[in-house]
Amino acid sequence: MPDFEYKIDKSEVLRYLGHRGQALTPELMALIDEISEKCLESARPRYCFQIFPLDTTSPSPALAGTGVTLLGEDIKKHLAGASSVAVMAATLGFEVERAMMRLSQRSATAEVIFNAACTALIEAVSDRCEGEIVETARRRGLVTSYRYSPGYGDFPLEQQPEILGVLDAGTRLGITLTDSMLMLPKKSVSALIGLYPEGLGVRRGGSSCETCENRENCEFRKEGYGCNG
Amino acid sequence: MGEFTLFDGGMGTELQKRGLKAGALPELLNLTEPEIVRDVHKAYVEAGADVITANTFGANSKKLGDAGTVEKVVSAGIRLVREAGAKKAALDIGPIGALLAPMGTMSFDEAYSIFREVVRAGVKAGADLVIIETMSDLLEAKAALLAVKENSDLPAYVTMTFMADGRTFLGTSPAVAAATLSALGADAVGINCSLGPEETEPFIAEVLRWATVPVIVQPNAGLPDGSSGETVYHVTPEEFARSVGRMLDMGVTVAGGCCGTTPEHIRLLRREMDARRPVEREIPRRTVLTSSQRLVCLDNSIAVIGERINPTGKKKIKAALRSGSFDYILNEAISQEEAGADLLDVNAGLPEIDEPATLRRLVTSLQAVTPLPLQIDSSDPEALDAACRVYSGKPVINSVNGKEESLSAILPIAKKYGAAVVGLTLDENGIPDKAEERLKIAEKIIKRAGEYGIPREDVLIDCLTLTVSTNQALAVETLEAVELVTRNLGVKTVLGVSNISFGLPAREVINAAFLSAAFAKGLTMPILNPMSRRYMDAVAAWRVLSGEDGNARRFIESYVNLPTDPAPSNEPAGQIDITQIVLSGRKLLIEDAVRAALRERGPMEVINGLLIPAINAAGDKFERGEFFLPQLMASAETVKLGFDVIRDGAKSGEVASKGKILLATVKGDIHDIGKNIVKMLLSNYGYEILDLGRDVPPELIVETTLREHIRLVGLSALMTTTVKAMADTIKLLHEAGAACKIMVGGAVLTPEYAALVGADYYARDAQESARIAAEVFGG
Repeated sequence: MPDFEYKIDKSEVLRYLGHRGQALTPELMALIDEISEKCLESARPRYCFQIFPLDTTSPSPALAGTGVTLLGEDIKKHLAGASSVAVMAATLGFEVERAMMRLSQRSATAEVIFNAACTALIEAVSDRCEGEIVETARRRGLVTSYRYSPGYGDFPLEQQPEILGVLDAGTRLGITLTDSMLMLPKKSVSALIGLYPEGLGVRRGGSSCETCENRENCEFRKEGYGCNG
Repeated sequence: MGEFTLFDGGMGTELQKRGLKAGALPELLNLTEPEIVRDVHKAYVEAGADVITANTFGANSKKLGDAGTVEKVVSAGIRLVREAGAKKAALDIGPIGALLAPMGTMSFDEAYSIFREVVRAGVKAGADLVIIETMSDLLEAKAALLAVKENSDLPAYVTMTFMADGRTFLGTSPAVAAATLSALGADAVGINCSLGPEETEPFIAEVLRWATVPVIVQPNAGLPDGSSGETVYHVTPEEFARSVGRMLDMGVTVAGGCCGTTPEHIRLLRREMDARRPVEREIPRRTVLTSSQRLVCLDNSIAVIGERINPTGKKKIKAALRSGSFDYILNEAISQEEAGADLLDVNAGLPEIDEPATLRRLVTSLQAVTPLPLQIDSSDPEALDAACRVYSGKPVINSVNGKEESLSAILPIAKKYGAAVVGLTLDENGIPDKAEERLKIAEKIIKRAGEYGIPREDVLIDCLTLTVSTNQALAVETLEAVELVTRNLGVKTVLGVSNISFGLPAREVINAAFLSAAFAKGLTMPILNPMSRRYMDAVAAWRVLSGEDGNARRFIESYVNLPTDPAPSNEPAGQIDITQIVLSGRKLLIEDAVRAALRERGPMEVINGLLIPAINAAGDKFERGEFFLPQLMASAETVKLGFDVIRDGAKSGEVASKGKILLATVKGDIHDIGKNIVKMLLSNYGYEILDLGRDVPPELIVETTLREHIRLVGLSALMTTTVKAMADTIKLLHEAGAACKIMVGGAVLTPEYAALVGADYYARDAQESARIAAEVFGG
């Protein structure tokens, strides 16, 4: 993967921390900067993707040539009209996990901020991967939708092994799964992005918390401090 | 070093060419389409490979699931290799695909038994050797290697896979992998997959530097390129053979190919092998200790062993070991590392606890928070075995001595786990006074270790420090013994220094002088308290004097701007309102402010009258949205520092704990931020928190609840898939008749869900947990 200097957007970190305009002390701002820096230092961001033609001859869409059928109504809706689908995975690696376990012994405040900084960073890494997918699609004269992950809506989390399997994400990125389908390193993302012919009116961006299909699996909601504010 | 051995090349990529679908289990082809697998093997036999790797990489129960039994897939796999006419058949063992604790949730024993099943099937099918490959986790590689060694007589080759930055996914370097796996008894160690031969070369140089066994390489045909949408490999057979040929000239004797390599790559590599002879490698004989993250080599350098993780005379460590809530110990580990320790001694010896289980769990927990190699310290062989087994790296065992009983109990453990071992110069007759007598015991220990196959560089002699105030002549004898052992036996020495000053005032003065004298006699590994500035000054100074610290660079860096006493704060703390300090989260001011308050009031009055109102004020601000989470937490941490000042200064019984609360993230779940926030907040209301960590088995929660008479248990689960473990834990608590209330939290929970799993309370957030605790404890 080419060298690329990632940055952590402070306003994103604050958003993940549930900041809603409260007065910020210089000490807290400095702490956030310091911890974001630590996060960038320890992270080993990696991603990969592969584009598969979408096989829609059966009732459920399938990744052609893989034997993977995508289950549930929501992913079917999401991919309606798509000609192919990009499968992507991204991770920050295990170093941030180690750094966070160590930090958690020292200061829970630092731990919480570090976690938010990591979340901002894995989003940036996923965005970069998505950017490459968008570019690849553009060259093929296609447009893309947004990232859709196992666990969203009725797209079962139990498909996670198959999704990571087609990418060989274990060998390529070091992503493993627990029995409860949790990806390790925790700061990892797996997602599908549909590639569509132009003119279908494909929705790009995500959505607000209320309409988000990821309500129940959203990392920020899990940690107990909101998402979009 | 004998002959070269040529392995075959890529299997997965060859199968894909023949129609294997991405993501499908290639091992099932052994049963469903054996002719395809046999064809690939045949092509590699024809290309000249000596060893053909059976198609069993993922043939473990975890990956196969219900799709096929391990025994069937493995025996078909080995049979197909035979049918292809191979000279030798290798049972292939890849990673399980699930991560071991502490980073993951799989236990060492579970990983071991998964590998054991594969090994037994391989033995039954008649495999000639085992190749353990593409490993990222040193501990998983160790589990697989032990499974081979303890369940077969087959040679085991082990390769790990590295990223372009020279680390595995879990942060292990080629040097650490080579040193650790050699010590564990692998028959060859090396590198496979991920990188092409060019990129692998500098890392194989590292392996050659640290391995004490033959070295193996199996690179990919270049880095995978997915730019076209499909994964392709670009290194041609000619380039591949040339590059691997260079590694043969460096000392590699076993080679083959991984992803993207073809029979043609292997055919050309055969030619390279046939055109040369293996080079004689000089096998390094150095004392090396490792963790999965770090290598400590004692060639021309000293290493400080931190002594603080030991319950002797330490109330807080005793309490932590008894309760199983290790936070205090983990913090001690980090503090010692920050103070400059190179290794940490770990002792969990308390008569009333299950030492093997405790030491084992402690070693696992420590490895999550510190990269330092560990010295595992116990007089119980069973505890040493349990802890060495789950240790990821090459540890030191502390200790064996010259008594026959000790030698025959401890040395086999050191051998089995490739550990170095501290040998104490005492025997059936006690500690000899004379240095020459201690030298004799040292000689005996080294000789006996050699008989067990432990090389002398892995024996570290402790000449034993005796108290100078009881027998003044013996201090010099100990120093003399260090010199004799170093000079005559050529081994490294260990010495605990603090004993020397027992019974004297200003002990650090004596200890530091003794330490410097011992360094001059050749001491390599002092065991001391690295938090003592005076000792670490002596260490830093000796590193300059001995030449280890070249050009005194490190010394100058640390000492040129040595801070003098801190400048007095401009803001006299006593005059600032404690509530203001807490609300602004100014940790630097709170300790002085609390000390000032303690001059005027009693400790309980400071807690109930100042600290708790302050944290309540922060909580109110959070409720009203005037604070967001980090602000609440900074306030909570400030209060906690204040509490620590009061507790440390109080006489026992003066500051009563309001009650014990047990917290844990349930089995299978490793999200612990929410739980840690709750812990932080609750500890500020005067409760004693026992935190068992994450991925905690229900049995441990029940056992601790009963033993510690816990009245409130807080369980956290953050995934829908782990709420089941929460329900199981609660059920088990009820069945055991635990007289406790149970509160649960975690984003997937709702009040209804909480009731459904049998909890007494649902804690929406950390503030709510404090209200629940107040209700339960009537505070």
